[in-house]
Amino acid sequence: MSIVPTLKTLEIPESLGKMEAIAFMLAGLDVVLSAEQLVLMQESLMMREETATTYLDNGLAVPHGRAEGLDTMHLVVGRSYGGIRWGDEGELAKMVVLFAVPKNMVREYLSAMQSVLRWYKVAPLDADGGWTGTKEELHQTLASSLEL
Amino acid sequence: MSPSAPNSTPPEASRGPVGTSMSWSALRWWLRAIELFSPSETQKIYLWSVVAGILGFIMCTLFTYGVDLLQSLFTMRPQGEQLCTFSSLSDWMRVLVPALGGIMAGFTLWYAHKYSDGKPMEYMEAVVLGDGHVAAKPNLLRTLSAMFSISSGASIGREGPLAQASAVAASYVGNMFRLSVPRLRLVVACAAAAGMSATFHTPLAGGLFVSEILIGTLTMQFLGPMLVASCTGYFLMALLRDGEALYQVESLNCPHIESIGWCVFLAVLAACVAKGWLFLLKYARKYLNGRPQWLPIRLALSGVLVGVILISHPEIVGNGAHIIRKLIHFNPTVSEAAVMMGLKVLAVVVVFGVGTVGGVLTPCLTLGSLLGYLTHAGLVYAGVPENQALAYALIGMAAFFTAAASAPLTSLVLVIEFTMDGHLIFPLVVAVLVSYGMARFIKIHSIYASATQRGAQSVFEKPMLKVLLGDIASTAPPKVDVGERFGRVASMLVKNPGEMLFVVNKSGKYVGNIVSSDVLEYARNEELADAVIAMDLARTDFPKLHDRLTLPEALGIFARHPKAEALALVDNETGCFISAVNRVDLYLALSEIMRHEKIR
Repeated sequence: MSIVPTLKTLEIPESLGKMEAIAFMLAGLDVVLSAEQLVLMQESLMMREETATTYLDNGLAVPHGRAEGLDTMHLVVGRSYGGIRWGDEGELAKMVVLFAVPKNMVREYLSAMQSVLRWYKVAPLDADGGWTGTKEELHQTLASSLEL
Repeated sequence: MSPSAPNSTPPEASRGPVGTSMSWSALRWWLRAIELFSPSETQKIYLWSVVAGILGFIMCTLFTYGVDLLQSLFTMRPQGEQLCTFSSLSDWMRVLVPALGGIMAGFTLWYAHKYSDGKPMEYMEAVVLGDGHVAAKPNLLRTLSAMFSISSGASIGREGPLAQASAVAASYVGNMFRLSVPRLRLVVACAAAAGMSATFHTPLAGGLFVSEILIGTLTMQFLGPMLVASCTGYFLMALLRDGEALYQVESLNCPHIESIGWCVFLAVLAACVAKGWLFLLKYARKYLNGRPQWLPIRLALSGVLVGVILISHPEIVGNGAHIIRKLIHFNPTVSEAAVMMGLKVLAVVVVFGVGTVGGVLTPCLTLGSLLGYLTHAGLVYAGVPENQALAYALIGMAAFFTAAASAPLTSLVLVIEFTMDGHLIFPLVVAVLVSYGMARFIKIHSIYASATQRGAQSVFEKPMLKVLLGDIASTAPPKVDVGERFGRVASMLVKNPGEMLFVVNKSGKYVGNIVSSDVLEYARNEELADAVIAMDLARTDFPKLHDRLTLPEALGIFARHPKAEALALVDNETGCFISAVNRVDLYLALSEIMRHEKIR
């Protein structure tokens, strides 16, 4: 099992709801995950979201799920200009970082989550939490924060 | 988490972890300390044995002060040595004091029988038979009854009630911390051992006594904690009060190597006399004991008998320690020793027979030493050139107790620690071995056999395949809900250092384990406090134990997962989390059950 995560960056269409956005982002991993793994991961992500919302603060949501069969952790970063209704009180998520984690990987997951949260603290954001830089800058700064 | 204030912390995090008043900084230091010093399960058992040792010492001190105070009240004399106090009394007071003590001891015992909810249980039963729960009220009343008897001069030992009081204290503390059954039994046994060692100033023999006689095994799994507890009890006694050997001898003539045959003779004789002694005690309990409502009268009458003896022979007072000291320091004549032996046998048989609460260890040692002393006198009379009366007394002591208690190692170490003289080691070893062999040959049942074979049968009495995992499971395993925030998980790890947390979902089903080593490094990071919940931390690569599994099957699962200190116990049908089974507790339970099966 590799401990170095993969990272993919994409734009999320504004018309999507929370669950659709998760499915859309997960589809971005269809190159590295099998169809069966994608199904398992989606179920895990949904279950996690039902247990407690992954919306944090200031426009950031970090959906994460764990499933058997993954050989490393995969991160998908999506930004949405208009925001996706995500939080319990209808807060808008403008930045979504999806974690697809191997079933029993804990330490590396916590390390990556910590890096993402620290990165977001110092990220160039507007007042609503929207990313003010380019897509390439987003990918580059986050990859650097994750030491990829 | 605002872009304008990039280093600000979330409001929740700034308050500290959820569910605890600790600040994040204090939590960080605490978690670092846990990482450095987190004890393993085995180390925890040793820590508990230290606690048991402290409890044993405290109870020993309270018991001794209580007895001294009551003696002072009964005799109306200042607190002092029992023999001196009773020797200073007038004849009628020598009769009145034991009688009065008997009445009070009898009423207390009757009250314990009649009005206590819980059934009184000897500490031996709690260790050997029960589940480690020693009901406080009836057992403390029994201890109080023993204090009345002992302080008023009854011929009975103090080690029994004292160990019982220690066991009550250990059981209470162990229950407060919800120890599992195997662990609670071990802690109760450790406290009894500590009480013994603090009373007799015997750091080794205290642990051996409980391990060899009560638990019946000398493996390090049991003996190690016992010795730690008894050494702790002795250490505190020596440090804070008095740790001198009880019967220290100044000069001891050791039997010559060619005289070892006489030691063998003494050992055989001691075993035969011990058989008769146990027979007497058994029938005294059968015929002198009766209905509880007559206890005050029976105990008072036994007190009158002791009092009448004390008029002419005050050294009979108490457990017999004064007789042993007299043998060691004053070389009594043969007739004096013979009379003392006869009177002591009479006093102990009657006092024990009527139902007085107390121990028989010191009375056994006293009779053994008198037997050895008289045997030596007989040998000298028969023309055998020996001049080692004291040595024979000590050898007789060890041989007699070996046969009476079926405990050769305890007897050997007890006598060496009593005298702090190792010169006698070879004749003592020979004597205890011969005595033990002879006791087996003539089928002597240990004096403690009846105490360890009655009472409520514990789960460990069942055949191994009938013991359920639930019987040995933890009573309060640390568990968290899947949705519990990271801060709360961190605080639970602080409260349960080194332990795994068991994650359950809303319907109570087991989800997985949170391993502290996975989490502790990140528990210091407040950024994760709200982002992560227990569900994200649970590992599912640990097996779970179904409640229908037998102990050997569970052992097999633990053997395949050497890093798992504890595993979840789940309902076979619903998958609901029941409790957790600890590896060390499983080993302790298996050892005990295997010992019982071996005996069967």
